[in-house]
Amino acid sequence: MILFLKAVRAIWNNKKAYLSCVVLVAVAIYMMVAMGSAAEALAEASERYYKSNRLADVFANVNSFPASAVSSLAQIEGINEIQARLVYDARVNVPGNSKIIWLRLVSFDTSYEGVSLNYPDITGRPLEHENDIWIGHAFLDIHSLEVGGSLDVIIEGRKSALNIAGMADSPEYVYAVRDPSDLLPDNEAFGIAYIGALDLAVLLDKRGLYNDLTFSLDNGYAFDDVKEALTEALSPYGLTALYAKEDQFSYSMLNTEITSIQAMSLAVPVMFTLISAIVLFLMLKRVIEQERTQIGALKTFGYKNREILFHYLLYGLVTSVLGGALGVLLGNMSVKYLIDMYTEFFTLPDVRETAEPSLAAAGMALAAASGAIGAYFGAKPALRLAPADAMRPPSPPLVKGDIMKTLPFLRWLLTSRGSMSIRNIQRSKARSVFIVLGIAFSFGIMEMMCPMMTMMTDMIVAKYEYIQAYDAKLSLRQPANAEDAARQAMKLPGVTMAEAIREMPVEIRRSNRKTGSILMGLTPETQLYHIYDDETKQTLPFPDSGIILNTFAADELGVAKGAEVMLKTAWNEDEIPVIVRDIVHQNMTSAVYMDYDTVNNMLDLPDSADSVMVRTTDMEGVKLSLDDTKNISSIEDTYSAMTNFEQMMNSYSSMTWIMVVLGTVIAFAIIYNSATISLSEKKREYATLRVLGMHINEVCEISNFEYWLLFTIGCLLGIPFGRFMLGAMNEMMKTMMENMTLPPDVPLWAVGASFLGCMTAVLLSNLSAKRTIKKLDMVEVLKERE
Amino acid sequence: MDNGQKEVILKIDGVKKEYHMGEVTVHALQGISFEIFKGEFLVILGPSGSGKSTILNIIGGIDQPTSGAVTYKGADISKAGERALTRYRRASVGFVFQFYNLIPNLTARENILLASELGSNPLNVNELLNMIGLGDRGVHFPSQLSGGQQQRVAIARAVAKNPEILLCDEPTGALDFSTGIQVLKLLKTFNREYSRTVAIITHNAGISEMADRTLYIKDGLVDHVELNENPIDPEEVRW
Ligand SMILES: Nc1ncnc2c1ncn2[C@@H]1O[C@H](COP(=O)(O)OP(=O)(O)OP(=O)(O)O)[C@@H](O)[C@H]1O
Ligand SMILES: [Mg+2]
Repeated sequence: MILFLKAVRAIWNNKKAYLSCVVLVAVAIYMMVAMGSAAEALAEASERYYKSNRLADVFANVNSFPASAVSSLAQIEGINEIQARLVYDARVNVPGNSKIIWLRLVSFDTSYEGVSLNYPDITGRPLEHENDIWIGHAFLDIHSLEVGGSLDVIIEGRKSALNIAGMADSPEYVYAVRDPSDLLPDNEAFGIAYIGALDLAVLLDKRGLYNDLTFSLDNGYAFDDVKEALTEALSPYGLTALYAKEDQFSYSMLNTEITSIQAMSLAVPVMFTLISAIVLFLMLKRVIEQERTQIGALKTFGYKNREILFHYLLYGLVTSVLGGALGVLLGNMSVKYLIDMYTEFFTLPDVRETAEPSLAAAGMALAAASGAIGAYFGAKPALRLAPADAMRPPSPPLVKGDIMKTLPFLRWLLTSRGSMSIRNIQRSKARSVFIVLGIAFSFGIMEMMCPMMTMMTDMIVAKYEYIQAYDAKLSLRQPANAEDAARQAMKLPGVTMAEAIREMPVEIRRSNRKTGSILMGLTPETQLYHIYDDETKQTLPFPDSGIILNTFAADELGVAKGAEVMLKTAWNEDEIPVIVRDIVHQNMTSAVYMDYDTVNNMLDLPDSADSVMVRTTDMEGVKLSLDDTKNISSIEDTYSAMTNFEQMMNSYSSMTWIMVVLGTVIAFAIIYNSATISLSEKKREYATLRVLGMHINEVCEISNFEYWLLFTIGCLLGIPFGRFMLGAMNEMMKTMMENMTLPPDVPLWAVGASFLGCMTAVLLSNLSAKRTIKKLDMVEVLKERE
Repeated sequence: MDNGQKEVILKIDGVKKEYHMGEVTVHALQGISFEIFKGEFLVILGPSGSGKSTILNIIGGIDQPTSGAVTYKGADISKAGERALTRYRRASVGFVFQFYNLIPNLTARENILLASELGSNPLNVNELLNMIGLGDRGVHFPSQLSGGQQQRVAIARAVAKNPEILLCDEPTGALDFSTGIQVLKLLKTFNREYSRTVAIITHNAGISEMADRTLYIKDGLVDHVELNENPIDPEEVRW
């Protein structure tokens, strides 16, 4: 009991040093509990949701598929159930809102016969009247719509009023974006609604036809087992996409997010508790050295080794358990907010908003283990002390392999004060290495995170200013002659320039390697689109014949300039060979490029464009006039797309700053703790120097020099380390976001910022050392025996 | 020797030192007054707890009195600020402790060099090493030296700055007889050959025989002073 008091008092007397361990452990366990629970809750809720609402296993989009042929698909081996629907994106007319708003209308079989898959959660009355709809929560809320009210949409150029009969959320749109390139959901601009199947068929004039097919598979069958048969069966009806559940955008976004939260909730705690354990190890090691006479006394009183060891373990345990408890507490308190943050992006029902007790327990265990391990290895030397041994003052450390002897010229560079610094580093090698690694680590984190922000901005600028010089891209409902299309577009408000292009999905093959991309057919005189290379910062010459691949596709296929690749599109049966003219590096665009005429000729198509790029001074006007322009199905507005990206960037930027602050905190924790330990060791020396008549600043110089030297080495190591981490991050981004890559080089300012961050940590620590040295009571320190 | 002709280098005037510990106040010095003369060899004797170390620390500028004045060459150091006190210690005082307090990271030679770098008119480091009989041990670290050798290095370090006064708190306290004598000889040499003032605290009454004056301290006050017309040689000191 007395020993417990002693431990608590010792920690209290050294609270600042132990506090940083408490903070490190608290952050670690907080992350583990809060993020781990969030991941768990999301995973559990989504699994339940997908299962109870029967998310389909395979998804297909076709131009039009006759109702009469549906039953034939059921013959395919492995197919269990089929749901055939009409899906149509309608423009919504919201008075006073100039944003382009889409409502995805999904047909719902009111006889409930075909509704066995992708079943939505419905509240409200049945779809009984004409043009009744159930609409998604988020869309309803953000537009302040009400059940019982109505909504104007434009379908095939005609305005129709839809009646809101209730609300429905779909397992297919947990992460609701209209187009995967949007990346971030915008509940204002895009919503989902269910409408009676017959109503929608009438509105679209597509009675007896479907354009959206989903399938569940028999037990034991996978997507690959049915892919070929389905492709064959659906191709005649204009198959535009066929993919498995795992590639369904909402499903895969949610899965990726859960996986990455899980990874974070594990990696960060392990890293932080490890650092805390090392800090405790170093502190305990020092405590043991300082208290050897006390330990000797305890041993002669008859205390057992076990009891003494436990006493010192308490130092670590008290610290880390305190940190762990704090982390669990914070985690418990904030898990709700964290989950709320996620459910803002992911529309999931019934997500449990409490912390996972098993994670709290695991967190406490991890905290306690890190404290015990750090303290145990630090305190172990106490066991080896014989009682009499411990009573004798420690022999002063012997400096072996004196650097001053091997490098005599250093003597000229440094005074005897300087050599004290150098020898101090030599004397405590383990601690010096720890400081260097700590600084390198913090430096690396900062160096990696800082540039992410500007890189993203640079990438956006490249994409929206250098590559896409147009203000908007209009997608045509029906392909049209290039000149006609451009002429029509010129009639839109404020349009000063219009260029028609051909755009289609393409599969590129080279022997047995395949990749998918978007093929863009551009006219040679194009002014609105540049095949601009992000790396060389140059626009490539136009490909008169052949194809320009992006680096991502080229890597996938393993081809270089001059190689021959095979193309397959929706328009050709047999693959067509083309020569790779060039390879372009574009960070955020995944297109491949050919000449407009070459594309049409190659595919035996008449001169037909499917999109028109325009430059306009009146974007609002263009948008508003769209309702009447029948041949335009959608509009991609460069400015809104950019704003959308910037919003995403902002959420990243806060993360960046958190990382920079964390980096500084870690660096500070490491340096400050090491400095505190080393100060307590050197109190006597510093007091002696003061008695000799050294000014406070002169004494500080000796201690500061040590840290500046270690800081320099740490930064030098940190530079390549940060680059390495950025590279690793890049690899991760590549696999997570397919074509998106980050430029690999670190800008100079980021190196500078990391440098400043670490420097701040050293400065703060040196300042606090100065305070200690200033307050040093010479009489008190020198009175004690060594 | 006649005190009247001697120049006073330090004047201690009514110095009090109190320690407050909760309810209790310890009066370590109760208004002590005495003088130290230039060039003398002063021994301070007294029972344990009588305040010897306290007054020596105050004289050396590493502690400050609660009240009273300590005048060095006309300036009151008891009221001096941090910087002025440091300057005083740097230029005028050499301190020797019972437990040597050498810097373990520096060799014997570097320990002495460290101090001499601080002085404006330092003594030659090699000469000092020879004087303390460790001319060939300069490259050794403190941990490689015996206690007596370490104490001699500590004395060399204290005198390297060539200070006006050398203050020693039980310099032989941790040493055996013969090593103690060596240390005393060194102190005497510095006192006589460089004509510097030396004041040492000791529990060993025998040492007072080699002093010019002995100050007896009791309960934080000077009990009495003894003059010694014929100081003996350190070699003759009986332990
Ligand atoms: N920091 C302190 N707090 C409280 N009391 C103190 C402190 N330092 C010294 N004292 C008290 O002041 C008195 C004088 O102490 P000092 O160290 O000067 O004695 P001393 O004569 O040197 O004794 P010794 O011969 O044992 O070294 C003692 O009673 C001591 O307990
Ligand atoms: Mg004393």
